[in-house]
Amino acid sequence: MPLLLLVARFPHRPAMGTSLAAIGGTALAGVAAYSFTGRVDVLHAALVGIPAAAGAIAGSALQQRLPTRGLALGFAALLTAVAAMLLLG
Amino acid sequence: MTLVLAAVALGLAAGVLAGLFGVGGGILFVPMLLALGLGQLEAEATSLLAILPTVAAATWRQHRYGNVRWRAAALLALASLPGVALGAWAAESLPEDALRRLFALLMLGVAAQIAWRARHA
Repeated sequence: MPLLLLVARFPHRPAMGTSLAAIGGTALAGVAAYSFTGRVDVLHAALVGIPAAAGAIAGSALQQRLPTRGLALGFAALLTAVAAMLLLG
Repeated sequence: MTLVLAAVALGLAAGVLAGLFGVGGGILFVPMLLALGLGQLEAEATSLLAILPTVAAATWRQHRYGNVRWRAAALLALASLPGVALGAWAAESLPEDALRRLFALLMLGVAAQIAWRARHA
């Protein structure tokens, strides 16, 4: 995003859309790389990933209707708690 | 069966959070997959595949709005390839608990980014 905004001087929305597409390409490359070492569990990816896509559509629709500030701070707290568990566990 | 339902429910929740905040939802995939019994590197690699349906759907939507400059996206993705290869090699070389701790630090970074944006929105 900063690359597109500052260096290539993209407007904000095309920067978001373009970087999203680029991230997809990067993730795909990662999947390819890890496929060689057999690290990708396709079944679990589908079980978690396909509902996530449905959830993301719902989530972006909700964005306009929910007070996202409090939720964002709550989400940050959740991430911190999980990180703490991973660090200490 | 309950594990399948747990996976689906967790995936749905992660997706809603990703949709709400635009960042950070996918990062939940790794702890979820760990809880479902995958190893650290398997969880990380699998999460890269798991994020693709969400990214594909969101990219398509942005494309319909005219927000995707495909050539630039392709160039960015190609430029990231050496980094991807290097990162995967590094991750394969690290002991599992070191990788886990590094990932936890990444989660803290994402949490900080989300909190920062929320306070300054």
